[in-house]
Formats: sequence, C-alpha cells, structure tokens
Amino acid sequence: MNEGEYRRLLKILTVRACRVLRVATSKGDDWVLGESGKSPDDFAAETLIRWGTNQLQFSGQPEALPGFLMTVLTNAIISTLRKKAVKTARSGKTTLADELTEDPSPQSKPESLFDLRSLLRDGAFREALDQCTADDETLKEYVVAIEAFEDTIPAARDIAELLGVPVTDIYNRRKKLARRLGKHGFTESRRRSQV
Amino acid sequence: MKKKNEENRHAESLEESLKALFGEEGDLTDAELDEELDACGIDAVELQANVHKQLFDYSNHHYRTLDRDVPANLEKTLRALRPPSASEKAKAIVRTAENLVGSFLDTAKTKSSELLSTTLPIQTRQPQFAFRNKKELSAADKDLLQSEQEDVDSPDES
Repeated sequence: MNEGEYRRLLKILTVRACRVLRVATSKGDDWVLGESGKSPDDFAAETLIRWGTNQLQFSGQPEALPGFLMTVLTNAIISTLRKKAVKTARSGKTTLADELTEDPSPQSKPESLFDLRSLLRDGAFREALDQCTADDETLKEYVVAIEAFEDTIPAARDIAELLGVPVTDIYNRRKKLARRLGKHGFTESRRRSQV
Repeated sequence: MKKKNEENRHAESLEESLKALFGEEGDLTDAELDEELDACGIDAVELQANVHKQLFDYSNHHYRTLDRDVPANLEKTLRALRPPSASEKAKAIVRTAENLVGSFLDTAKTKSSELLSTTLPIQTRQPQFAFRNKKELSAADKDLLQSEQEDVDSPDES
C-alpha cells in the first residue's frame, strides 16, 4: 500500500466506527459507548496498532485488507458493548476504558443491534431515523422500501427495482442517510454529555 | 472459540445491516469520506494527526524506548500518517498559490476570448487587421495620407 492508501484506510475505518457507534448510541435510552471513553478514532487507531504489530493474521489480497480490518474494528466495538462497566457507567459511575471488564450476563448482550429487522423496529433507533428523514420524502421512501423486504437484507438493486429508480439513486440516498444520521447521532451525544 | 465465533457472527450481521442502510464505506470517494467524517464532527486532518500521535506514542513506549525495532507495518503506517513538516506546509502553500494564480490567468484568458468572440466583428479578431486593410478611407484618413505623401515628395531641405 502507498501512503495515500494508508490515509484512506484510516478514513474508512473511522467512518465504520462512526456508523457502528451511531447505531449503538441511537439504540435505547443511553449512549452505550459514550461511557467507555473511546471515540471513533480510538477504535481506528487500536485496529491499526493491532495490524501494524502483527497481532492480526491477514493473508488475503491487499485490496481485501480494509474489509478485514473493518470487521476487526466492528468486533472490537461489539466487545466493548459487552463490558459490564459500560452498563454501570450509565448510572453515573465513571470507569476508565482500560478497566472495563466483560459482562457475561445475557441481558447485557446487544443482540438486537445486529439484526436489521429488529433494529428498524427499535423505538429509539426508529425515532432517530424518522428525525433524519422528516424533511426528505426520498429518504422516507428508502427506509420504507428496506422494511418491505421481510425476510432478506435487500441489495441496492433490489430497492432500486422496487422503487423504480436507477441504482445510483439508491447509492446517493444511502450516503445522504449516513451523513444525516451521523450528524444527528453525534450532535445528540454531545448534547447529552454536556447535561 | 465459541465466543469468538459468536462475536464474528454478530459482527457479520451488524455489517450486513449497516451495508443495507448506508452502503459500503469502501465505495465512498475520498471527498465523500471527508464529508461523512465532517457530519460526525471529525476533521480529517485532525483525525490523521490524532491517530498518528497514538501510534507514535505506542511505538515509542513498546519499541523505541526498549531499543526494539518497530514492526514494518507500524512503521509504514506511521510514515503515511505523519503530519506535514513546516517546510512541507510552506511548499504546499506555495503550490496552492501558484495553482490559484494559474487558474486566475486561465479564467482571465478564457473570459477575454469569450468577450472578443461575442463583441467584435470577425475581421477585427485577426491581429494583422490594420489601417491598410480599410476599404474605404474617411476624409481625415485621406488628408493624413495626402500630407504624408507631400512630405515624402518634397525636396530635401538639407
């Protein structure tokens, strides 16, 4: 990889961290990872350190590296979601990120985050989505179209076919929704942290 | 192992959900990545500097101070994310200024040729178009020519 590709990799990893954290922080009443003390760039840096110091076994083609590292990063965030202290911190206690320990109790597992159907049915996440799409009919239509696929996770071309629009239109709606939810999620997060 | 598999399955499931909602991060252009980071309140330049610092501190703490070699991948990443030095910043400013001036001159040239092509008659756009090409001379022109001719024809006074 050349230097430009490394810089792009960092951006890709940070955008992934933002997306996962945004979904996590939109879900439920609390900002789950806000209390862990880790920001999206911390997760990106951690992943790069693990890869840079050969703690990760990657033997694929160079172009597959970003995808591999994004999965590693997503796993790291999921692991943090399971930490017991993340939950206790919600009640007002402060715990350093390094002191977080695993919570084996089943109720701490954020399984409902992982499934698209239940994510879309979740009240808090849905409210965030509704606020982000309130003034844009094309985004509302896009979310409704995703819900229309009951048993499968639809590809962009499936949604485009259902809505009768070009597939590039779906790509643009996705990017717009991601930016809006990012702005919404992190603005809300900051507002809460100031309270 | 079971726990790892479960985590991987969850990560896969979450990745699929994210992909369906927002698309793949790898498909975004650099400008789109910057735009999304900006929407999340992250400045791309600051991000690079912050992460470089974390990696730099890590490599110092775990390798350099212990007199151990920094692993190749970490070294490459550090080099790629290194913030520009003062001289590199100065060079970048000069380059930007040169580009700005160049683009200003190009725009001025384009605009002036646009103006010439729309406001002047075709024959006047030729640089060689001159007095001698006038088909009909005005009275003032004729007087001028006449006086010049007389000067030429007059005997040398010296």
